[in-house]
Amino acid sequence: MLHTKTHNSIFARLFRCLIILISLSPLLFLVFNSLKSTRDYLLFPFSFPRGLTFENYYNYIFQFNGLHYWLNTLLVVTVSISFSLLIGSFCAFSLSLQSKSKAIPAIFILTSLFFLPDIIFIAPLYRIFAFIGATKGYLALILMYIRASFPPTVIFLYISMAKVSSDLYSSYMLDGASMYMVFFTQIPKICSFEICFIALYNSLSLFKDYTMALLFVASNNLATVNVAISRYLSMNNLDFPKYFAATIINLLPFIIYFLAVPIFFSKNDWDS
Amino acid sequence: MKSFNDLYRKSLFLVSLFALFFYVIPLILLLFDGIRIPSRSIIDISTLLILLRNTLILCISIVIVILIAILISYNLFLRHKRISSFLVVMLVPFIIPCSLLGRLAYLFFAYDGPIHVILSNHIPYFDKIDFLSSVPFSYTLLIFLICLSSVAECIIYLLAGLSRLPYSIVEAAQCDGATNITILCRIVVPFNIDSIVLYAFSLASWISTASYALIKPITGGGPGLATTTFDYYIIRQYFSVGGVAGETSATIYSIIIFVGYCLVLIPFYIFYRRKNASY
Repeated sequence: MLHTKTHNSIFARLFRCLIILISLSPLLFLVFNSLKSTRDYLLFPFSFPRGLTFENYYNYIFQFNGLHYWLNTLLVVTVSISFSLLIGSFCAFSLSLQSKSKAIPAIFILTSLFFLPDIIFIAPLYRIFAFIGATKGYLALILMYIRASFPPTVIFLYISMAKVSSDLYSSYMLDGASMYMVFFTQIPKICSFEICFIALYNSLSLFKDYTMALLFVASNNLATVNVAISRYLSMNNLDFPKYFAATIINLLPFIIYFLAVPIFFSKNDWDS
Repeated sequence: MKSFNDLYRKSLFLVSLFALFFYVIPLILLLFDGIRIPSRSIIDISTLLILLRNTLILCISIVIVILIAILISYNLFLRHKRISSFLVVMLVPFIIPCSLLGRLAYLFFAYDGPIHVILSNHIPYFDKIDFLSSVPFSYTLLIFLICLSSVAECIIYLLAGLSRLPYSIVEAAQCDGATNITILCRIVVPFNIDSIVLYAFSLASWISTASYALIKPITGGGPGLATTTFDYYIIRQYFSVGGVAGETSATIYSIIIFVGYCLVLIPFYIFYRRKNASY
């Protein structure tokens, strides 16, 4: 059995406590101060809220119409993730049916594309999208999000699907199923864990995006949460508690994700 | 078998279409713009060096992140754990978007922010000091935030790499009297070097080309170009300066980044393919 005595030393414990404190402090600071009035925040920024006020949340949701931007983001991310999952899982499935010598070049190309920085392509793609009029709505942003999430989807799903024996698919076909039927009915069952994982991973990174959403959506009304919140901050210059409340509402998907991940991993085999 | 090949052809078509629309056409457009740029507007070397220096300073965070992640992932590995409540807590800053983390840091350390107010109330010296206008402080803050938001992700990468390491090797080393430090330096790090290099590369890539969302709220790339990275410069040139000058400058820097990445990626892949030749 491996020995772990040194890891319970006082320094290790202190180090762990320090990291936990640093990791949680931004979120706790946001939560506590979002429940304070502006005056309380300015006088006691690091104390617990004395009296709870939900006015900041009310202002963001009803006066600024904050949920509208939240729904905008949800719409864009859902559409993008759905497309990239559908096309990506199809590519991964068909590549996994081939020998490695045939599949690896395509995976190699996608890995290379995945590593190429987005910033190189932002200006030319912006010109192309502006030329076809895609920046007026969500089309440009959705395409950019599909572009960002497609390579990791194919790579990750290929790795997991390649472990499944192609004999299994052959047996389905002997029973009269077409490959498309196998893809639409059996793959979601066989690779449900991997599909959920990559969907969560991609949706998190898309929800966090600020730069693309700022550049590729022209209309204020169509802004996503991260862009809307920066505008909300500029509208409420010194009213930080309002800003914190808005931030907490916008962090909701991440908090759900944060709660979902440990449950998800504890119920599934990490190695898979 | 015929249907397998049919699907394969269709997927190759989709991948090619994807690469063509999102990468090849924009790249041709970019290079075409680059060719049309007159020789008088060739890149300003001093600006390029400043951007490179800024990126390299921020890359200090990669060393810190990897050191912390190696220690924690090794600790988890020794305890036969793939995830722990500690790691879940560390994921909190990772799930907060960089733009929000940056803005929060700005609010903390701004001239009228709580940290400055408290410090200047107790120590009059701080009354005249604006933390964020100090370049060393801004860099320290940026490095700290990059570390904070990347450590958990790095641990996950390293744990994935460590899952291939058989426990029996570590146990055999322990039986031979090796200490944990020796095992870490002689077995774990060399074994996991692929994951470490991969993460270091992806974080370096993020710092040089995607840190705009973090830097903008804190320093705005300033003072001057003191905290501007490549992506910040390109976005500012293209979308703020605008016109022919801005577009030209953005194009040149984009081409430089592309060439730089190709120079790094190609040897990386050659090394990787040689190492995994049997695979």
